[in-house]
Parts: sequence; structure tokens; C-alpha cells
Amino acid sequence: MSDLLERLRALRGGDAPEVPASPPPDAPPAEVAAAALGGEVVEGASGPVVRRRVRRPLGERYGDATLGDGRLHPWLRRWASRGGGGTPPAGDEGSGATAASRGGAGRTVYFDTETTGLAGGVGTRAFLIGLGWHEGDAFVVEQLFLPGPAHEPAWLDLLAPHLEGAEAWVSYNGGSFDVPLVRTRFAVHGRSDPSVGRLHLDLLPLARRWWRASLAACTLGTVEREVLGAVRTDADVPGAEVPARYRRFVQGGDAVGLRGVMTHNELDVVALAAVHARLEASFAAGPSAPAAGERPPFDVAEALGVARWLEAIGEREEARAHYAAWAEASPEAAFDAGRLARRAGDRAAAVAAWTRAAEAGHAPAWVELAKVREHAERDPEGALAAVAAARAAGGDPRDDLDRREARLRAKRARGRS
Amino acid sequence: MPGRDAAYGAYPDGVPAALRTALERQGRGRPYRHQARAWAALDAGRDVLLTTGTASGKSLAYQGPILASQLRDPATTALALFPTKALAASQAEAFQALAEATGVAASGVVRYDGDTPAHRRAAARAAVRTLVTNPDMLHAGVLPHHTLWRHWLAHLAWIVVDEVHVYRGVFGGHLAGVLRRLLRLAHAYGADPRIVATSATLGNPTEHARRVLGRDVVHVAEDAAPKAAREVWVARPPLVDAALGIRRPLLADAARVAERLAAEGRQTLVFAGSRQGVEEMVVPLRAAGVDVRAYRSGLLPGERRAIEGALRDGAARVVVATNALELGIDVGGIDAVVVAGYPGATSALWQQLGRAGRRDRPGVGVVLLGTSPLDAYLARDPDRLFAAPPERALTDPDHLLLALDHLRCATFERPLEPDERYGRYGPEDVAVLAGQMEADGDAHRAEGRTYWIGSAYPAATVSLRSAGRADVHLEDVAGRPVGVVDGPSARWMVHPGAVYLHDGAPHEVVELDLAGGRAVLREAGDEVVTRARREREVTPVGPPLVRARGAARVATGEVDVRETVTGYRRVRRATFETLSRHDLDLPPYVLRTRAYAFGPDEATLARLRAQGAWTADPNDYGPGWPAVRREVLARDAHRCTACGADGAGAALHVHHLTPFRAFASAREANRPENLVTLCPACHARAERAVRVRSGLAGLAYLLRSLAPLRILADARDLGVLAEPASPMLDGAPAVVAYETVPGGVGLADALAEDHEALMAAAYAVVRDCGCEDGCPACVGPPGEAGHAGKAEARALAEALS
Ligand SMILES: [Zn+2]
Ligand SMILES: [Zn+2]
Ligand SMILES: [Zn+2]
Repeated sequence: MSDLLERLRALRGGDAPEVPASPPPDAPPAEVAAAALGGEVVEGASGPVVRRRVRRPLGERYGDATLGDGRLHPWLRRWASRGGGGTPPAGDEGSGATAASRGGAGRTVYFDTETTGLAGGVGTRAFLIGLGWHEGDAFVVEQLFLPGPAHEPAWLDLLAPHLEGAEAWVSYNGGSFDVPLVRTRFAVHGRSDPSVGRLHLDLLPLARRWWRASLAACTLGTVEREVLGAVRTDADVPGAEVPARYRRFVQGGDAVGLRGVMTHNELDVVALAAVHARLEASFAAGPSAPAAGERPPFDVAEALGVARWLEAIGEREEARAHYAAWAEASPEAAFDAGRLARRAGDRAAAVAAWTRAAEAGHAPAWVELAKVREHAERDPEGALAAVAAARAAGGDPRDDLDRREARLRAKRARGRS
Repeated sequence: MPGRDAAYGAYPDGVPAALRTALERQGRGRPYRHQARAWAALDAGRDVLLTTGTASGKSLAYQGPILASQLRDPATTALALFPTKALAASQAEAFQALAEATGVAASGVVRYDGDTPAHRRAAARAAVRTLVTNPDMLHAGVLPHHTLWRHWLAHLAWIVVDEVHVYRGVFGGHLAGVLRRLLRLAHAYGADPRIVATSATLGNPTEHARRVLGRDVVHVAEDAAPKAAREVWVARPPLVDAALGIRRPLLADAARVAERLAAEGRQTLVFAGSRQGVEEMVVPLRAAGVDVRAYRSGLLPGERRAIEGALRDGAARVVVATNALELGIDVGGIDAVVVAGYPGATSALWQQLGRAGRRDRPGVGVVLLGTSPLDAYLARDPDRLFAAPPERALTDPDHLLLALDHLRCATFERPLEPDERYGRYGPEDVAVLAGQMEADGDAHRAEGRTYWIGSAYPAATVSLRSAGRADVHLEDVAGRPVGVVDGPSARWMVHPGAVYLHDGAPHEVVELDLAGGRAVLREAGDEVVTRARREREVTPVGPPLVRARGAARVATGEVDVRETVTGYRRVRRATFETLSRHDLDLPPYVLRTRAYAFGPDEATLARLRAQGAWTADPNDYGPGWPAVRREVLARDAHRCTACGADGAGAALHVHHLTPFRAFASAREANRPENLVTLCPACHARAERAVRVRSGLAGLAYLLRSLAPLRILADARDLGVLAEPASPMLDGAPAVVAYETVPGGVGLADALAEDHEALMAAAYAVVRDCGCEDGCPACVGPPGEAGHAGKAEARALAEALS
């Protein structure tokens, strides 16, 4: 052992792992990986990259969902162009990461990365990226595997046309993870930022709005299992194990452990398309409530999520129609239908909707009715009755019922004198 | 201390008019000579170190050149590093004010540290021209994300390192590593910045700057700023028990002094050392009706800023502060400064006293010294404060553990090239360390380069304040985090059964898992505290370097300090009564480090013995001893009663359970029931466990306190022990001081260099102390079994001085 290492060991108080005599792999790593993973070796300028392509017919379903057609609804397009739900790609000096919609027929690329760690920073690499797109009657997944960190430029050479040729990227949690990571990899090698001029749609914030109320967590795995009804048959690789499997391959040539990672990544990309298709389907279904027994879509919680999101992106009329369609089933929806009717100046519709909600025991709706009766209908007596009903329905902590009641009593007294 | 007038120089030619006008408007139309010198040296392309005094306008010496270059080329960027967030905030504000006064649209002075909210960080990066931050943020928040900073890095022309004296020991070595990483990336982006540093006065300013900054600097030391005359008083609280050397409580007296100064109408700033000290002083001052404010860590930035402002405009009459205010935060001149307790270094003392005095009015400084031997030494003759050469700052930029830390971070930031160097480590050494990273599973070497492939974020695992110590994380029984202690301290602070104070609340340790780095605590009552029994053995690694220095032999060298916590006592808090004793079976902690040891040479030892001034000998047990010894050996069947070893390996010893010198007569001490057979190893351990006041122990106590006499060091940097038979000196008695940082950073060797000065100070302290038989201010309070400790220590120190 070198003197330096001996000293290092002593300073560490004896705890330094021995340098293992790792057996040199018998074949070039790229070929080992290609053979084990079922891909081909592509020789790039800075070395080899392993590429694997899988096509699946568009008729195939993923759980209950279709794989869609890759087109982005104008609403999603607008949402994405505004930064996609508050997780814009990590800002950079002046380069607006998401360009405005160009309303084109460009390709949508679904992508997901597998990385050497989750920490972020320049030393965290993606060693595998799965890219998916619609092509004719097929959904194609192309996976680019990096057989060693030295070959990253070649890997980027193969990746760049996919990313730069797309009009929109679709990811799951890409806003805070995959997109900054990819941009960092391009920046490290002095290449221009591939996200400039591209839309990025992160499905995670949308999934949260659609399904947070009904799911314990909004991970891609939970959504595909619980919402799409898709069950992965192969034993899935726990995410925490992925980096170690790649290290074992790089250091010892063991590519077998990566097969599961490959499959996992491929299915992640397919699931992205399926989740996106599921979102599009919820728009296509429109505001109508489902016929009994139909699945998917929807349930009340999801419909409310959609309606609230429509309201957030400024589609108020559309949102109001969604709320109204569910008013029968949900006092919450009826209340919001009333709120938007009121905002649109349609008091009669508002009162009708609030009355429906109030009769179902919705306290805030009673409060709204009290306001209408007090101010618009000048009916303190009726307003007092509504306040009493609101109290009976459990009240609303944001509304000061006592003060309202005192004021109404005073008004009533004045009215009598 | 007399005042002095300012001496002025001239701004260099070519200072942009906008900057010159802005400076004139701020009343700085003419620079002090030191500012002009520093600026000229920077303009000439040199790196510069300024060591002028408090409030001498050091910041202009870098703000000016940076702004001038940014006015000439707006793309120019700069880094300003400050050791604390408070200082960064105060300096960023001043810098911004000057930048804006030059009329530039966007000054680009951006603070970026732990206080910067996540959603503002992208905007901060986009706006930055001068980045104001601290080393930890640069290390863990900026460099590992350098692609987000690439424009800033590509145009980096200036690196400012403020208060460079703070970066000593491990912290200094780490800063050197962080700067090397920064420069490595800057070079990769095509930049080659100059460095300008400031520092308090140091004994070795240029040497220290070269170690930390890696550059040879032009040193600007002459302070040309005007200085008010000052009157400085040095005092100690009066004795209440002369025989025991007990004095009135320091903080209470300091509060009285502050109260009186305030009553005389002087704005007064009190330095109280610790946060706890601040709280303790504020209470009596408030009770006396004084309008007092506390300035300490833990205040919100706004609260801190408010006090700084109130000091400047005179609204605050009395402020009690920790040394957080010692560093260059601008609070203007103050009438009176009270220093409650020696801050540990003359440079710190002068930084604190430097606050006293305004241009038009002389200042008053009162230094109240405490009860340590060092305080006593300085109090005896204040010239020891006024005329002393400043302390040296020691650090090791090439510390091996730190080198590995920063090479890990550097690899994460950019693959290591085959010809890469790190400090004094050439490409071959770097390759060896890269091999270790590979073995750790974090790196992969291909085609000569080393790539990071670990899943960790290495900067997050490297604390700039420690070297190679695995921390132990404390949690409560529900798994909630409670705190952190470093691995070595964990063994004696949070061993199973220990009562550990967390934020003043007693917790009992249920479980200590050293391998897993965690300890589980539950809340406990406050009647009982625990005292760990620690055994330390210092063994040289290879033969130490031994030199004769006067009557002493002085050794330095690499050692292994093996520390075992063998048990603990439960003690009633109120009465110090021992309730029970417990044994522990914890693995020893082995610290490879450097040590300094000294002891009397043989002739001196013989002379001390002859004078009756040496009782620490193990083997003068009276005329009947050989017979008694044989009897005990036979009784114990010639085996060590502790470990069972027979006498085959080494001769067996017969050990006195109660120390020999605790008895009036040899006959009494040598009764068989007081004697046991032990092998040499067990015997050494048993002797160490017995606390007997000896001259040697007294001298060790003195050294512990006096160590920072000539170097910057504090108590936790060194371990000191008295060894009756030290392997550092072939089994002769010795006082041993070792560095607590693995590998050391040069303290042990510096102490050996200062040996004579330390011995002279030690002797002066014992000689001049009026106590009867030891006190906290000389050889320590009289021990349980002790007598003659002070006399022996005095004789020993006299002989060695
Ligand atoms: Zn994935
Ligand atoms: Zn033994
Ligand atoms: Zn004394």
C-alpha cells in the first residue's frame, strides 16, 4: 500500500475500505451492456452509447388507459407555456426556458431519466434516458444508455436531436428534477440549452390537482396503479437501488442488474403517455357527469380538481359548466357553481345553485344565501333564518356569524320601528 | 495610548470619474495612505493582504478597485467572502450604497447564503456581479452547481477574503480547499481572479495568507487612519478568599463597570464572550435601570441591524455583545468598551478595544481579566498585552483528510484530469487519492480521468469546521432529531447511561450506536449528572524528535492517542455526592495526531528529588519494600490481578491502591490489603486513574491555559495530560499536549518552538500567585488527595524556565 494511503487510513482512525482488486471486464462495457439489455452499440465521436428501441401498437392499452395521440390540448399548452404549475425549470441567465405556444403540429416527446443520485448538482448524471413519441400507429420508446461517464458527449449527441426536435416535452416531476438535470448536462459540455424554445409539461402538478384528494401519494407509480389500473408484472426495482446498480456495472461490468432498471424506465415513459392521455380524456368527457358504472372517468373529487384547474387557468365558463354538471352529486360543486354564476352576474343561477348546496347542509352556501337575502333582497328575517341554518350546518370559521347576526337583528329592529 | 492624525495618499490615475465623485460625496475624497497603497498594488496586478486596525476603512481598499473595474467593463464579476452572515449583510449594504452612488443602473451586489429564500435564488444568480456570501455557501451551494454560475465564473476578476485570521486550524485548511476548487473552475471558464484579503494583526500574516489563499501577497500593514487617544485599564475582580484564590464573579463586576461608565454619560459597548455571558450581564444592568441591548447570535437580521444602527446614531447607550460584533461590522466610534474576560488572543482584544474612541473625543477601554492562569499572567503585567507580538495563525492547507475531502468535491464538480494537482500533492498522489475514491465506490477512472459516480453530494458530507470525524446524531425515543456531537466526543458525552444537557434540559442516553452514528435519548430529571471516566494513552508512532532545551527534554512527533471511556459515575447535582459507579465496554477511539511533550532531564529530576520537590515517583516505598513486594507477588500467584497475565512477558508490578504518598508512614501504606499485583500495562492504567496532585499535573494545568500565549488556539484544539512515565520521553515523566484534529495542523510543533516562553510564563504565574496551595489561576484548585502540588509545580517550572 502507498504511504499516502497508509497515512490516510491512520488519520481516519483505521476505517478506510481496502482498494478492491476489481476484475477487469472481459469485453468492452458497451458491448456487455448492449448484450445484456437487448440494445445496439452506437459509436459516437467520444465513444459508444447503447440504444434500445421498442415499438408498441397504439391500440395497446396501459391498464385502462390508451396511449393517446401525443397532442396537447390547448389548455395544457397554455398551462405549460406559463411555467406548468409553478415549477418552471431552474431559472438561468436570461434564457426563458419555456417558450410561448407556437400552436404547431410539432412532436411531443415523453421522457424520464435514471440517474447516479438524487442530490442534484454538476456531479449527478443521468445514465439512462427513455424518450417516447407517437409515430404512425405506434408509440416508440427509445432508450439511450451511457456505458461510462467518459462517453457523455456521444450520449448527448444522440439525445440532442430528440429533445431539440420536439415541440413539447412531457415529464413527471421534470420541473424540479429531470429538466434541470438535462440542462446541466448540456451546460457542462458547453452545449446550448435544449429547453430554450420548447414547451415543458410536467404531469406531477396536474396529477396532484386531479387526484390528490383520492390518492395517498401522487407518485407516478401510485397514479398508474390506482387511476390507470396498470399493474407492472416484473418485480420493480426500488428507486433507491438504481444508482448502486449502475455503479456495479461501471466498476465491475455487471449489467444484469440493469435489466430491471431498463424495463422500469421504459414503462415509466409509457406510463407518461398513458397519464397524459387520461388527462386529455377528462377534457374530452367534458362537464357531463358519468353514467353509472362507467370508469374512467370520473369521480367527484377528480371532477372538482379539473374544474378548479380550469378556473385557475382562466377558463371560467368551462369551469362553471363542470361544477354545474356535478352539482347534483356534490354540494361542494353546487356551491362553486353558484360562486362562478354570481361572478358572471347571473344571480338567479347563483341562488339556485346555493340553495341546492344549502339544502344538502353546506354551511358556506347558507352564508352566501344570507348575504343575498340581506343585501339584494333586503330580507333581514330570511337572512337571519339562513344564518341560523348556517350555524346548524356547522358554521364557517372564516365567516363571523355572530357579527352578521347582531347586524341583522339591528336591521330588523330598525325595520320595525 | 496616544491618538494620531490621518495620513493620506492619492487614488490611482484612471479611477473612473463616476466613482471618484461618489467617493467625494461620501466624504472620502482622499484615501488613507494604506487604502491608496493597496489599491495601487491591486492595479499593478498583485494580490494584497491588509492588516490595518478596526475602522481603518479596509473595505474601501477592495470596493474601490472592484467598482472601478466594473465601471470600465460591466461584465466584470467579483466574490466577497465573509465569515459570518451578519458581517456579509453589513458589508453588502455598504458596498451597494457605494455602487449605486456611482450611478450604475444595477449594482449587482447580491447576497446569496442560507438566508436567501429558494424562490429568489434564480433571480439572484441572474443579477449577480459581486457575490457576497460565506465559505460554507460557496462550498456547498455554489461550486457544486457551477453551470448555473458560469457567466459569473467566466468573468471573475476579484476574490475578497475578509477577516482571514478567522480561518485557522481545520477551518483554514478547508478554506484553502474551497478556494482551490473555485480557482480550478474559474480557470476552466477562462478567468484568473486576483485575491485581496484583510486580517486582524497576526504574528505571521504573509505566511498565513500564503497558506490559506495559496498566493504570495503584498502586505499592507501601516494603518494611516486617524485614531483617537485611548485610556486602557486592565484589572481583575478583587479576591474574596486569598488562600483559595477565589475572586468576585467577573460578569457582575463588568456589569458594575458598564453601569458606571454609562452613568458618566458614555456610550458603552461590553464584550461578554459567550451568548450566555451576554444574558447574564443584561439582567443586573436592567435591574439597575440601565437602558441595555443584547447583541448576540440568534437575533433576526432585522434586530441585529437595528442595534448596529442605534449604536451608530447614539440611540443605544449600553450594548452587551458577543464577539459577533468584534469582526468588522460598522457601528462607528464608541466612548467606552468593556472587555469581560480575555478573548483568547491579543488580536481579538485589540479588535474589541479598537471600537473605543471617536475622532473628537478620547476613548476608554476597560479589560477585566478572569481567573485562568493566562488571565493572571496578563493581568500581572499589562505590558504583556500591550507590547506582546501578535499570535501566529496555524493551519495546514495540505492536510491529507482535507485534501481527500476537497478532491471528492472537486471530482463532483469536474472530472479530475490526469495531470491535476492539489496543493503540494502532485499528479501521482492525486491518482492515489482518486484510487481511494474509487474504492469508496464514489469515482470511476477511465482514460486517465476520474469521474464522480457516487450517489452522494460530497459537499454536504464535508463540514468546513471538522476533519474526518463521523458525527453522532442524537434523537429522542420517537426518532426526532435532538442534536449532533462529533464521534470522538460522543464516547464520553453520550455514552449509554450518560446524562446529556440539550439546551439546558437533561436527557438520559438510552442507546449509543457508534457504527450507525446515532444515539437515542429520553428526557430525565435534573437531580443527577454523570461524569465519564476517560483513559488516555499517548503512544508515539515512530521515534519522536527529542531535543535538550535547558533543563528540559522536549519531544515532538506523531502519536496515537487511544482514548477509552471505561465507565462513569452518577453524581447528585446539588451535593456532588457520588451515587453509583458503572463500567462501560466501549471501543477505544484512536486519534492519529501530533504531540509536544516535555519533562525535566535526569539531572534536574535528581535535583528536584533531592530538594524533596518531586513526589510523583512510583518506587520509593521505604526499606521494607522488597520483602513486602515478594509477599504480595506470592499471595497473587505471580499473576496480574486485573488481566491475569503471568510475569513471562514483563516484570510484574506491585501497586498501591491508595497512593503511597497519601499515607503518613510507609508501614501504613505498605499493608498487604493496600497492595495488588499488576502487569505493567494494567499498572500504567491504574496509575493514570488515580488523581494525585503533583507538580507535573500542576504544570499540565498551566500549559492547558497558557497554550494560546503565542498562537491562535482554543481549549478544544488541544488535549493536555501529565504522564508519570511517558513513552514520548523513554518512560520519563512528561507533560504531553496533543492536537485534537487528526494529523494536527501545526499547533504541537508551534508549542515546542515556544517552549521557553511557555515555561517562563508558567513559572511567573505560580511564583506570583498569592494562593496557599493552588487555585484556579495557577496550578488548579487543591485536589482531593493532594498536597504540595503548588510547591512542586513551582519548583519544576522554575527548573524548566
Ligand atoms: Zn423512472
Ligand atoms: Zn494486567
Ligand atoms: Zn494560585
